[in-house]
Amino acid sequence: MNRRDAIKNATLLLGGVLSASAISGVMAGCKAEPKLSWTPKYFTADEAGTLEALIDRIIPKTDTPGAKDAGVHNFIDQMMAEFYGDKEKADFKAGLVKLDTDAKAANSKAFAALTPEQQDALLTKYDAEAYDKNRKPDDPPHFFRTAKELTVLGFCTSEVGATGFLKYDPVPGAYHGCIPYSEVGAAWATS
Amino acid sequence: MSNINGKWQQDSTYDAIVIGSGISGGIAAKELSEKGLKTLVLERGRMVKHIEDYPTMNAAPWDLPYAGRVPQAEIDKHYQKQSRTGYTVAQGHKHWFVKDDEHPYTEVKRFDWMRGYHVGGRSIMWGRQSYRHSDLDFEANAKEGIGVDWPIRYADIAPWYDYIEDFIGVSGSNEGLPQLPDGKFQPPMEMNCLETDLKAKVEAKFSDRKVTMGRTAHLTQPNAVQKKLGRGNCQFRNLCMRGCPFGGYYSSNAGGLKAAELTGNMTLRPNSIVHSIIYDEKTGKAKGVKILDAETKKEMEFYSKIVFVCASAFNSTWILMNSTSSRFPNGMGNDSDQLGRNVMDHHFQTGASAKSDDFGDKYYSGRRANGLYIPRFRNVSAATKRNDFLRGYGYQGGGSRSGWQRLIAEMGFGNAMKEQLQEPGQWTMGINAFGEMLPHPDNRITLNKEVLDMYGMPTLTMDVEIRENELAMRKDMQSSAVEMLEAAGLKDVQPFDRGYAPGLGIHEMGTARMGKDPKTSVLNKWNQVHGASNVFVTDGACMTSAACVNPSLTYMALTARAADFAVKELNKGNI
Repeated sequence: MNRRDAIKNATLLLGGVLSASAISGVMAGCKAEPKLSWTPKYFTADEAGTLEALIDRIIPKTDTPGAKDAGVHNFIDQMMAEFYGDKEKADFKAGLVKLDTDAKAANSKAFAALTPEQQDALLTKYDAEAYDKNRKPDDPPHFFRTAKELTVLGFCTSEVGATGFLKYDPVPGAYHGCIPYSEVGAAWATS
Repeated sequence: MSNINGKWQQDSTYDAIVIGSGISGGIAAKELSEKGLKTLVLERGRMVKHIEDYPTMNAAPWDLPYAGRVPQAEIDKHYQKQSRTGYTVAQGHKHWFVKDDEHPYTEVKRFDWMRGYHVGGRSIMWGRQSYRHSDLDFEANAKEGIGVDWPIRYADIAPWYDYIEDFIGVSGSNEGLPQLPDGKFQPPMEMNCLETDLKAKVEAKFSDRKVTMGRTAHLTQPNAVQKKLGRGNCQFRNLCMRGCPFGGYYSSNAGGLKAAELTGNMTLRPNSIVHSIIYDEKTGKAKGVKILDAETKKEMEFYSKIVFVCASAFNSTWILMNSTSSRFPNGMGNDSDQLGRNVMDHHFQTGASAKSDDFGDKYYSGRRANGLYIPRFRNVSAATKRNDFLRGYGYQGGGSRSGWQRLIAEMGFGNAMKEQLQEPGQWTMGINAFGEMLPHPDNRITLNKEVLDMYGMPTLTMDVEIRENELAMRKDMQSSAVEMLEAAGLKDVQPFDRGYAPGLGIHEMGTARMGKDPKTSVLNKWNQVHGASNVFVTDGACMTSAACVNPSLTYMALTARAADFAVKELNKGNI
């Protein structure tokens, strides 16, 4: 048996299991018509705009790159186009549409056209729902959880995220088991 | 091929045939060809050349599609059983696992059979943990009246453990424990802060327990032989299952097969699915092997003086079962009706995990594909005798700091979450017990002629379960884990039992056991088939009991020992 994975399984128990869901994004100011700089494989242009705004609020650009810099929108689009089954794809699409609907109901604007503060206010509600302790394990994953999982996964496994935000060393050459954290300075991208 | 002319017969004739190119077959190939035998190695799957045929060996996370995950639709279609481990079917290494739809088997009870059909077999993606059996293991069956007695003792195999450890390279630490014999090790890997702390506290609290670094087939100080084969130090990438461009861990491709190739005496024939061993009624020996060429779909025969069966435990037994003759109507070597019986694995997936509030300012660098080992401490002496179960278990585990994955399970987004994402999480510790499974004649595999594989060959039916002894042991496996993590002062100690189905340990053993008496065993003390003395079975099939340690090292040692014997016997004209 592969003991490394057995260990990983043992320690993963603590960290929690990956699963899914979510909500969204941003475009600063009041730009009404965000223009896509890419061609989605799965999403419509409107959905893709909402997605971009969403991932940009989940992992914003700061003094380090954010989800958009890492191309997480392309990653999620590809996952929808090629990876997920029909039900999951439809659920995610519906989640993006609902996010926009909720944005319009609250602020009379598309989600992507809201201010970051307005976007965050909406997402805070989604976040609370998605991680509500009363959710049952059998409940279908909340859209925001799926979106957050895919954003974190896509970001941390991207070249930009792994090397420009986390630490990545393709060939460490040695193992040093107990060194000052300051010598590394950020979490390792891979374990 | 019925039309055999002289030339063809000559080209089809070797001194030795080795069936299988994995962890055991690679050693058989090396030993026999180094001793000067013209050796044909038959591998059912495709060619895999060391380094050049490891397609993902250097892939970064962003080079793999879907962040390394495999779509559910693909799993449903091809990998329903191969995916049961939770880690085997991933973009980095799924190409080393068979497609279940092409290679079916039947489960009376759930059995997780992970297979790799290609040159090198599962030696490419094995766990690499390498431990010796001790006399505690070799004597247990006889003392307790379980199964049959091993026909060998530690002294018989000890020099061969030395020999194999020298060849494959095992890093580890000698501890002087009778139940886990010392070996010829390269320097051990380093423990991290939390592991060092756990070791000190557990050893202080429990005088009967040791916490040691895992003994693993990775090079930390390669010797001349390893260097000559082009192997170098482990680079701590932890991408082992993809195949290692540095030859940092032992695989058949990087080791045994390479050494065999250097002799010029080996012919490696991939895509050669063995159908049966041909028994010569006149001589009372095997005269060769019948195969199906997977590419041409033609049947062919090859001839040799000796045959080493190293096709992996169940497939070696499948070959014997499918090798019928008037002498062996129920399968070669099956006078005892033991062929296919006494399936064993290691039962695991129970233990405990915990968190530590300490060492928040400490971290590590490098990715160590190894962890801690806590050797067996139950039923090793009068003082450690248990009334609730026989035999024992060891723990494999380790400490680490949790990574970015933890944030997915927690509330939060935006700048605050991003800051957490960039920092490692708390230190955590997990230990997972691997327990011995007793041989039981009703735990068996049988030949299934109703369900055929993609080549029209019969398949196997598995009927295996863990029984009272294992179930009782599992309770102790869990509670001792909790006890030790608590003794180490760790926080939030959580017991776990994630359930276990036979096969999940990927240590399938038994089904053609060694023994002293042909009436109750399939193989003798030299791994010779009773009634076909030039046929040797030296992989997991031969195991008379399972011990609680990872078994590959023992297969390799037994293979080298049997090869040495076989060539001496051949030279004496005895076989």
